Amino acid sequence: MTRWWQHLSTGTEAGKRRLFAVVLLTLALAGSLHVHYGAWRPAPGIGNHLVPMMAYLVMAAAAIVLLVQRGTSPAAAAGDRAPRLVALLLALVGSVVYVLAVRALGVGVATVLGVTVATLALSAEPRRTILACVLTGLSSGVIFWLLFTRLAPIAMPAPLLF
Amino acid sequence: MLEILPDALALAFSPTVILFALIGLVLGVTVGAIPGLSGDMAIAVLLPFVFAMEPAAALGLLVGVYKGSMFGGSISAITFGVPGTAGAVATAIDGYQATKQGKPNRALHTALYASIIGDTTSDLVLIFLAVPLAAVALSFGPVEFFALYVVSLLLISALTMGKVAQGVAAAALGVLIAMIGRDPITGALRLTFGVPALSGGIGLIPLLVGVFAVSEILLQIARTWQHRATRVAERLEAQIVRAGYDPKADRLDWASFRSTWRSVAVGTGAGTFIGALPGAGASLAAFVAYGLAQRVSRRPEQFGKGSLEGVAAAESGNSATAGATFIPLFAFGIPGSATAALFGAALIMQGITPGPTMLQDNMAIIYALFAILIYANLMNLGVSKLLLPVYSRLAMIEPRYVLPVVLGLAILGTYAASNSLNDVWMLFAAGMLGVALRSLDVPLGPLVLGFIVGPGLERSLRQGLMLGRNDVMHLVASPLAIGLYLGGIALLAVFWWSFRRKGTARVGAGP
Repeated sequence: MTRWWQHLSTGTEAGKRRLFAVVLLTLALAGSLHVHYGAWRPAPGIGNHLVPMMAYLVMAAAAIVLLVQRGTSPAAAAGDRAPRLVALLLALVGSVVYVLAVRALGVGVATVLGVTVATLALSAEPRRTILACVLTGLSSGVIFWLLFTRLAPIAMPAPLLF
Repeated sequence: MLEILPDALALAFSPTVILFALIGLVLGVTVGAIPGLSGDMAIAVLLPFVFAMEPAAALGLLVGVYKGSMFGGSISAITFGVPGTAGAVATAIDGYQATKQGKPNRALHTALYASIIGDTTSDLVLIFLAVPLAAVALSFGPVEFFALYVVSLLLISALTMGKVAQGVAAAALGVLIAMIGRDPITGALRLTFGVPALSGGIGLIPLLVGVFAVSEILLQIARTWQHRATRVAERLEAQIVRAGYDPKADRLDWASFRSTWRSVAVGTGAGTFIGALPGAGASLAAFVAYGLAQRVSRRPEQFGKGSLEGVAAAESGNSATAGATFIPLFAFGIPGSATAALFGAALIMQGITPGPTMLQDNMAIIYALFAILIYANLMNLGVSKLLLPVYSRLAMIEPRYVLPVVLGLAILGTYAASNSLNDVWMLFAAGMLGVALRSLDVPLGPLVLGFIVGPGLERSLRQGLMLGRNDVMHLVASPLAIGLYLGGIALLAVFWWSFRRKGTARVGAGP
């Protein structure tokens, strides 16, 4: 027998709906508790927590509608689910690595390196296309330099290494 | 008004503005023609750059990108059956069939002319409707504005992809994100949870670029990485090698295009009406136009089999939303679509606040924008006609070279707009939020629109309640506000009935 929480990660339309509803309900509950017990400075009229509270109520109502809603539940598209997880991981790991690289190497160098590495990672045959990937990275560096240093002078943060 | 026209025209026709509009057009068609890249993504990435530009030049660039991408999306749809944008999905139905029958040139030219006619008509409607509507909106007080914000958010949520509950929840989430930072009335911090970086609130640029561009780029990179062994270019190249293709026989003559006039007229009318409604996107307009054109056509059986009428209806329908989508933004300050939200952000960055007073306070710029909207269509016609053979090959550009560069531009652009690494963090956070919401099939448009109208909604609600001494009934005391609520309910009922009847609730694809 399939438990309700097992439905959440199925990737079907119904599973996605339920997962979103659970996220919304959690957010609405946590937010309402924060409104009731958090430190909110008194303000004229009903107060500055009015709109956040309304947003939580709307989210909770939408979550309930999503939970009771019936609809077609096509089979999970496993092939499409994997890229989304990869994308989330990419954003998480990539942002940490990128910001660390920016601190050490500067925004320009870190971005050019990032573009080169990403182009190589996306290549079917990295060894055969290494030159094209490096050229893409370097030419993007030239474009970035022209855009951000010559056309719109922007003060980039000083790198730690040089 | 007339005395401002010479100044406005001088602004619109200055060489710099024309040049930027031209650059925007070429960039827009390129972006639209490459599947995976969209006009909204390009506008989002360009936002940090337009911050430093002159207002007219900035608007010229963005208008060029927008109009170019509207038509660009149909190029890959017709040539390869791969719609470059959501609005071009309906174009692919007959467009690709026409290509397979050896008449890609006729289909592309039909799409181009229909797109220009639809777009120009829609721009004219915007010009002649936005000014009187803005004059009406000047009489609005907090109660009426609150009603307008609520009705707009409901319409936006309800019409986006037909997923009402998800849309409403996304709009509420957007409003909540907009509340982070300082309360505009007391100056007290709220929802910052002790994080100093959040005390200034969430920036418009990191949120827009993150949600629209970074999330899509990350997904595209993830997909490309997963399927990196597949040579997309080779596959597409194989598709266009057609035996026996005679370019001389594939020319669109006047008689053939004239036979599509009914479809163009129906598409333009439907697209302009749907485009003016908050939340109804180009894709919905294209499908509605396609369906209506089939009904009025003398050859309905040809639809779906490479009919030029089908191409013309879909293309005029989606392009006719281009001008009309700005009507709620210019008249009331409410962005009716994701593209209008991005333009609203660009206007705010230029010191122009969208809303009923915008036309009075910035008359020269806005009238210059009207002129740019019209001449950009003519430029689009000339440039696209000239470069169609080149554009048709754009879909072969391998995404692995384009996506990392666009991501780099998005990151550097966001950093450059505020000189703050905090915004880069927020950009990645917004990108992850975008990926998560896309994974759950939650429309992103309502989230961004909720974020943009959130502060206005809060201001009007709190002012309205203060005026009514905290009596909630004061919010429905004004006849104008009641009229807005009833109008919104009537529109929702009409669309709900129409969706149920036609079973097209899943057709409308918003942002």
